[in-house]
Amino acid sequence: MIDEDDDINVFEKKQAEGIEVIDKKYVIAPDAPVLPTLASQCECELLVKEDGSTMVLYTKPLIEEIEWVDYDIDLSMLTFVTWSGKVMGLGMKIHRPFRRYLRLGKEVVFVHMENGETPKSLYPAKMVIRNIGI
Amino acid sequence: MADAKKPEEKGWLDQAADAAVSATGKVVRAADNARTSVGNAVTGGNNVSATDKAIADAKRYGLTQPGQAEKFVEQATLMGNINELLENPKIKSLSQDKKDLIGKAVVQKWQENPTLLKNFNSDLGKDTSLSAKIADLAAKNPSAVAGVVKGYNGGNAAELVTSASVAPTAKPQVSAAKAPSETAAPVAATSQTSAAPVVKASAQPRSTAPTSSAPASIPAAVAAAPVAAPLPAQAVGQPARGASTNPSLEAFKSLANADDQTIKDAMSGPMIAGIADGMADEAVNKFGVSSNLAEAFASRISENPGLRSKVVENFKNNPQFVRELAKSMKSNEPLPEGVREIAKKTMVGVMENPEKLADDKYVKNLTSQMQMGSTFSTGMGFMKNMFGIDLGGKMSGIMGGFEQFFKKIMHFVDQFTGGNFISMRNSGMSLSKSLGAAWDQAGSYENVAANGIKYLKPLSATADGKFYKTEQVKQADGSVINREVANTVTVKSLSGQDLKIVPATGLQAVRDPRTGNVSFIAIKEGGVEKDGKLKGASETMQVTLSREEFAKYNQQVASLNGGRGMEVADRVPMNVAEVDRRSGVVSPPREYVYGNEGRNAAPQPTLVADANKPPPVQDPSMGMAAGG
Repeated sequence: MIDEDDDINVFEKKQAEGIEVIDKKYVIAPDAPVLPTLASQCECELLVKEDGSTMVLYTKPLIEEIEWVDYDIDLSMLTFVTWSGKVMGLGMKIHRPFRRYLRLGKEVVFVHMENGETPKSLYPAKMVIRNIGI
Repeated sequence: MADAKKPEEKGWLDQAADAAVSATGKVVRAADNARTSVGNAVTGGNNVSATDKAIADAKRYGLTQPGQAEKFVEQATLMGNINELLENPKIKSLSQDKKDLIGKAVVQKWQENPTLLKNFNSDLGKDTSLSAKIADLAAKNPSAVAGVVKGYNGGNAAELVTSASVAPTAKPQVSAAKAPSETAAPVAATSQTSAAPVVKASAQPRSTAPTSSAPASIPAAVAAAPVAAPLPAQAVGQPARGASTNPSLEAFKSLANADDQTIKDAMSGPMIAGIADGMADEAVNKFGVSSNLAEAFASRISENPGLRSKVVENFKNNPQFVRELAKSMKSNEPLPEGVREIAKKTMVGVMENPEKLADDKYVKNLTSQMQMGSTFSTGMGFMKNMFGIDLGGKMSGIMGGFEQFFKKIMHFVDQFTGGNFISMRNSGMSLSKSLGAAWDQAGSYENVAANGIKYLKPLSATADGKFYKTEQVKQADGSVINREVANTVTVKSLSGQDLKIVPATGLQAVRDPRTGNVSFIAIKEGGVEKDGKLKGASETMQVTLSREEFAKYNQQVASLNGGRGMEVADRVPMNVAEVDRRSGVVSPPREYVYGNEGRNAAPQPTLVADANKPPPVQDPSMGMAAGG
């Protein structure tokens, strides 16, 4: 039996209570442990070799250095975790063609390409691969 | 300057200048460029460095023991505040005899107290008005200045100057307790003249007078004397910048391993002008920057005291940058072709906008890049410093346990320059192509060299099997000496430069299938011991030759190696299948061509978020905000 109390109109309820309706625009709070995705910050490229060697190239210095990388095969997502625990998505879906090769990888090398031309820094980060099967 | 003086009043410097004037018709006044250095570099065409002149003057004043004068000059070179004081027009305009008077007093005092210069430099730094007071005193009563030198005991410069300034000018003894400023002595002592002018082929001949440094020779240098004529080797029409004598630059290079305080003490306007001159030389000679641009840059630094002082302050606040820059200027390593282009870009940027050197943020950024470059230098070759110069030195000596770490990274990156890849990007720019190009240009061979150098086998370039021969060399004074010279072969690089290398075999050469050019590891001239043993990986370098040139070289190798030349393998191309980030459609793999073709690839939507744009529509397949 459906409990009609569950079918509440959240927006009406909030207006009635005098609560300001939150703007639908997606805004990351300044203190949120979530950083803007890499693809939203600068030009970037994901490069995977057929043996699983993976490299992420980007053109703007990262806000924080990446400590490790989470590849979620089910969600087709690549998430970077910084040394302070903040998370940053790649910002691009990891399409199926990548799966065959990326799942072989053990680490990702981050290369900062200044102006898109000159490699300025590079360092590796371990990669964790998650595949639950959902 | 020399103009208004009677012949008998002119010192040796002025006489030399006159000779130069009559000889060439062109005289460049170092003083006008606000540069001072010790000694006078050129007299009538003799290429004598300013440092040598300063040393000669110091000896004349009494430093006759072996090495004494050199030591004095070397110390004074690094006294930035003293050199700034010598820039003062009142000091520079002192007549020869007055300079002699003060110079002798300083030198004698220095013999009693070797910390004289350092203490005085420090006093000048603590009291910014002291410099002007000393200059005033020297102009009014230089003999009082000479007398003050004796009273200086370190730290009391301000008192001495004040009391000497109020004392009757003719009688330094009036204020017995307060001798005239001893500071004036070192000041005078450190007056300098510009050193060898280097006449460029450009419109305005300009003196490359080194700034500062050799303090001692007051009389000699200081400003007054016009710089003599251009060196014969640098006559108009010849390459504008050659081996200029630049004591400030030499002093600057000595700061490569100096501590922060020494660097701060050494920074001065004259030093900066000298550095700018050195940078201009490097830009033209090493990077092929336009000599007009280099000249304009050096002139702007030397003729703009405001900018110069800002640069001085900025360099004082960034001693690490000074160290990195000094290291890079010391290096004489040949540059890989592609790295030169990358570094040239930065050089041109600085030369077009010298204010960058006064910008703290810019200099800090450069410093971190230069440090990164030094981290990946010799043995890695992946990222050079911003001036593209290999800083030399084995990495194991610098980074210790990090060497293995970096080797692993370099090996990793090396894999990305050949093979099959799948790529996805959010813009039209192919960063992976640029990386491949940069890696290729910086010499990915280094990784091979680090691991496979033991297989490299030097070959004797002569039939007798020897790696060195004895040559007779005639010296400038006419004497003949025997010198050991490595047996080498000469090859012409892609840029047309002749390279002398020791032929070797054992490592594979790599051919670019598109151009036919062949790259291989060569041993530098002098990179082997007499018995043919390779001295080390730092004595190797990557050489790229055209197809024809390599064929000639390989024939030579074969003739020296019992008929067996070098093995050549084609470079493995980089095949990349690109995935469209929105649709996931995979384009057929295509071979990447190194260079900046990434920028000319088929344009894709630019997906960098714009703060003013509405937020992107959430992609349900991603489960979270798609972003970008």
